[in-house]
Amino acid sequence: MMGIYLILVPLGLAAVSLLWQGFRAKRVSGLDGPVFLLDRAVRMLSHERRDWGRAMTAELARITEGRWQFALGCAFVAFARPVKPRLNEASAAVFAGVAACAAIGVYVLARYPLANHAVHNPLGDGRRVDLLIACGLLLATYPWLALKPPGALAESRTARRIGAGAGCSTVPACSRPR
Amino acid sequence: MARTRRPSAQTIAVIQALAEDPARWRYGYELSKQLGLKAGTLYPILIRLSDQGLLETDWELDRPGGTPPRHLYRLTGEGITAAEALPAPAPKSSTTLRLRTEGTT
Repeated sequence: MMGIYLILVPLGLAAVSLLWQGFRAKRVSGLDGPVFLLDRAVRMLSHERRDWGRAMTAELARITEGRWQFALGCAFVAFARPVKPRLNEASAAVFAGVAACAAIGVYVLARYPLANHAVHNPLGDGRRVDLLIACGLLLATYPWLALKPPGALAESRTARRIGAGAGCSTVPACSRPR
Repeated sequence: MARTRRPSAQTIAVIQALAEDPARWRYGYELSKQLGLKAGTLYPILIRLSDQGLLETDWELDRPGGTPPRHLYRLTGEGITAAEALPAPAPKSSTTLRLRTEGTT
């Protein structure tokens, strides 16, 4: 249950913040929704990609139909574009890894709830501390593996994928009821 | 060692659309409408082609109504060469199926 809150609360806060900013932008400067969305999204582009953000914004200014669709597509590009082209795969690996860990963590917490744990729990309330630590470590390991992998993994994409998969599979293994 | 990937069908379509009239500058939205590609698909392709030196970009000078200048795209010399080396558009699925069937019997 806690895992779900850990995911939903930040997402909810981010959504509310974005909506509030959009509302204010419309009131203060008259920006419409697609322009506001794209304006926020292109700010995430790296310095060397800023021209592409300007290009998308300028294109949107001339579009009269399908503005939301265009702005959403461009916003997706801004979210997904890495700082350097070489990091594209690394970014995808980070997002996939974090998403996989989060999904597995939530599943495991739901599947093996609270009881059946042999590890001493300093919180004393039945939470799977060992599981939470394992999930936390994996969440930290994924970006490291993807962005700054050790030499052997850096040389081989397949090795990196296998390593990431093996790391992911340790979550259910760690959480097996004893 | 750098690995050369085969371009996707969408990338090929973009290159071929730009190669129809290589001297002409094109807008992103215009290409998007012509090819039926969404912005989320088209712009990564344009960015990649530009990074590879196959696409030349510029900003328009004419700005009606004070709108911001749009980005313009056309193939570089290298891009034109790459376009010429591309395979012909893929055959329709029915043709492919017929050929496969003929090949197996």
